[in-house]
Amino acid sequence: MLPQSQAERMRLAVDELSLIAAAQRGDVTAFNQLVQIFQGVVYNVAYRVLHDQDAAADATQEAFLSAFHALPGFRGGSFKAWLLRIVTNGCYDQLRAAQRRPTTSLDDMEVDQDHSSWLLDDSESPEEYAIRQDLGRTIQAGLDELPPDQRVTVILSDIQGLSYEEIAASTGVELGTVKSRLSRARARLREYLLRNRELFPEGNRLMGKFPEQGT
Amino acid sequence: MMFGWFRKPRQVEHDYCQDNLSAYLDGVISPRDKGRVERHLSECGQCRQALAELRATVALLRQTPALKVPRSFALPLSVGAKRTERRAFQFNPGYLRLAASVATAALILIISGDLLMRSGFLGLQQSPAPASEAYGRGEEPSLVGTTLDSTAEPAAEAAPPLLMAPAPVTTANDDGNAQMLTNQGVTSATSEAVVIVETQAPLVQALPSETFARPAGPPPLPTLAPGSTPVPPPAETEKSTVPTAVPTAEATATPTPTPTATPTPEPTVTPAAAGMIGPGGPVLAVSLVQEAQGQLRAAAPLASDSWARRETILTALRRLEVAFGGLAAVLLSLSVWLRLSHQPA
Repeated sequence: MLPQSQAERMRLAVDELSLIAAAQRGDVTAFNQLVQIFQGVVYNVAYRVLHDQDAAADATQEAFLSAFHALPGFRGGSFKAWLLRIVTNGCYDQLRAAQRRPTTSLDDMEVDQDHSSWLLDDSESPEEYAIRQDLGRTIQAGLDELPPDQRVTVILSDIQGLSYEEIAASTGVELGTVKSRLSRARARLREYLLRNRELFPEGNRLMGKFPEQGT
Repeated sequence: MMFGWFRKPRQVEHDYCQDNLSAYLDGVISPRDKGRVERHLSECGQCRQALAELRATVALLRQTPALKVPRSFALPLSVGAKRTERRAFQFNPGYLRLAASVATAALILIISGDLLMRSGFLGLQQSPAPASEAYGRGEEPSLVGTTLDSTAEPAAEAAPPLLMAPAPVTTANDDGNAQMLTNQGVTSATSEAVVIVETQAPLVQALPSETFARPAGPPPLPTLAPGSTPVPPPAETEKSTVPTAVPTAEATATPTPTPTATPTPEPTVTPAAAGMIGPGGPVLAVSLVQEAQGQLRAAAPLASDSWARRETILTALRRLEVAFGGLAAVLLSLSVWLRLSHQPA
């Protein structure tokens, strides 16, 4: 989020490596520092995939626990991608379980739990904050319509800003598959947003960027 | 430009463009494909519109607000203790198994050495009378003849406890306990070996007695020994140390089982091997040893930090134990049989 200098980023990367090495030797305190760094990303991905705060919190906690135990087997590469792979696998399991038990209904999932949960940016006015809330809810509804593979891919790419390579590592598929999943997910979301233009208040600065059709 | 003359059907180009707009937007596209997309975009308003909408969609998605983390997901410190503990446990049984194997190997050496020296392979064909007469009469004092009955049974039982010694440790759970058990296990194993070494001569002499036929009976009474005299105190103390060490190790180990621990097959395998008298037993034992050696060789050059490799080494050691135990049992019963069938009338 904050602009970082090259040197700053370098220092953080070195810190991360030494923390990983210590955690691999069983140092829980070092691992918990990694948890502090990555819990935001992991939880947000889980929430966007599952659209349920409790389920996302459970998935996040389980992901960190199994990451700690699997850490001796971590052989370098992007630690973030490795973590995200663990959490997305957990999310897939939860989605499959929810599919098998349709009684834990979609109604529960539809409940809007987002109200007070957005990160409050200091530079943001209350109006802008409200608009962002609306936007978050609208996008979530669009994500919910996607099949899980496409949902995960577009969340990692366009919400979390991962590269194609990182997404391939996080989801365990080929680059070509990432490309096509992302293409299909974006196309669907584009249609969804066009269908639901009325969800956006008139003059929304974000939707204002959306070109009128047929010009 | 050369291929620009060849115009593909418009619909094909349109579909191609639609499929690649996302990658084009991200710049993740080969220069050749990029040219093809751009050529179509220049002549298709619908695709230009689609590209603009796609760009807006991605821009919108990037604005998705991040959620506050509802709580800290830091792990409790106790999680680490479990993992280091598990790691420590990977090594202890290995050492213990090695010690047990060495002790059993010593037992085999002693028994087979004794067999070869005293009667040899020829002992089966030749008349054993002079040899056994030598034992019974002049060579050894009658005092030793009596020690054998108090010590013979523990020695005969030595093979099964030796094999069972490492088992309690694999089922133990907490670190300090394990260390204690390891020590106990090793001392019990080695002390048994010492007992065997020291009482080796009387053991062979005791062979005519029927006590050997009973595999796990209570400590025998010196009834069948020739010329029995009161039991000498040193042998008695030796005998008593062995049974006390083993039960304590087992008693402390049982209440704390670990899910990772695998039950050791020794107790079931050993009686089967012990029952085999004849060529089958040694052959089986030798093949088991060879197999174990092969496994050890396969595991040795690889890094030792992998769980799977450690498992392989442990399995190999377990097989070594079984093989040694089986070999010891076979040799033991062979010597019993030898003595019984050539007993002087």
